[in-house]
Amino acid sequence: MNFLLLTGSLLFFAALQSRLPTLWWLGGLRIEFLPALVAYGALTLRGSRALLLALTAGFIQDALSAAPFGMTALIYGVFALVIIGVREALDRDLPWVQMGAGAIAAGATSLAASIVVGFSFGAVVKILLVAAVSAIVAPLVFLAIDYVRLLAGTT
Amino acid sequence: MIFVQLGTPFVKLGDWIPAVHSRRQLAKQTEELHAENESLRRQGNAFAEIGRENLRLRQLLNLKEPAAFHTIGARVIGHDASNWWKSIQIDRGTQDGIRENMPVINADGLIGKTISVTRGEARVLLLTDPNCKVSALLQDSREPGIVSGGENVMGIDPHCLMTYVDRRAQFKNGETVVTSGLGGVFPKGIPIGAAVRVRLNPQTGMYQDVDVRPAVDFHRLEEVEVIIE
Repeated sequence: MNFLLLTGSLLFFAALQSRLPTLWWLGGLRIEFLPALVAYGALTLRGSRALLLALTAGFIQDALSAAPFGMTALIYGVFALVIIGVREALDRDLPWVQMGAGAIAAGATSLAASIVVGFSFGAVVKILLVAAVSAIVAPLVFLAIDYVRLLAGTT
Repeated sequence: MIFVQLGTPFVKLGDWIPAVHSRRQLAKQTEELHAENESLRRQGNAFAEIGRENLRLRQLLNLKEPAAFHTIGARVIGHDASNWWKSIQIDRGTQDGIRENMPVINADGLIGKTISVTRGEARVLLLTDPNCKVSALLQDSREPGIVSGGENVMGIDPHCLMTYVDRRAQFKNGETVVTSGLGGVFPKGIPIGAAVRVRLNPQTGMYQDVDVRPAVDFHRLEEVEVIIE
């Protein structure tokens, strides 16, 4: 996967995440695309590139929110390292693997944020909701990037 | 007398004709408006008198005149990319005189404060974020407290929480909450919202927690004002 496609995906999904309206029928939840992108990188790219993608995605998300700068980058970085370590045992083409990776990435950042904001029963419900939405989004992000790679001939 | 007798059937008939009927209504409305106008003028005179008295008392007590706000308008150009923080991005930055910790308002009331500023943009931490703390007062009962973003799992109706309110405090449901001016960030008297529900703090039992419905509609923020002085 070339550098241009990687950067383009990062900027596209960051813009999509911050510009799309919240889902009122899901309690005003925002759809997060960056955890799915980080999961994609961790399951697909070479180790160093996957880590770079995770850190950059984290820093971009922190820059676009009021979160303590670097918090999301740290979580995404750790997540990428863990997935890189175990990915030999995973089949990245299985939707369940993609969904699980997306849900864990989003759930981990949500857990860290909820600890900073104030952990409570309501926060647990919100973490589960965020993880569930990210699990649904992850296979779509995988599909979209794989399709663009196919078109660009960089598979 | 005879003309009155002769005219009566026509007056009765006129009540059935819409144009004449509406003229009668208009006359009644005019009368009501005159009465309302009279009442408002009386109120206006009373307020002017109170204003003059306020001025005299201020001079008597040598109170400093509250400073008028100098504001700068800004457009909202982005929302928070995360599900856990509540902030917006505005199109004014250091080149427009914006600095960190400046209050942001609109016509309805307090929105939040600036937290990070670049040359052309600034991020505003909203009142509904748990990290935004504002020293506040219940307007009528003058009970102080701290307002911050409340826990809001299903974020359809964002609300705030006023904590550290005296456990013996008595106040009306729907009472307006305003900024107290303490803390040095937010000027005194900016509307925050309305007190809607009260309960004793479950952890300590020493204070009351008050749910505050914000005066501002945070779902429809398009233009805001930053208080720069």
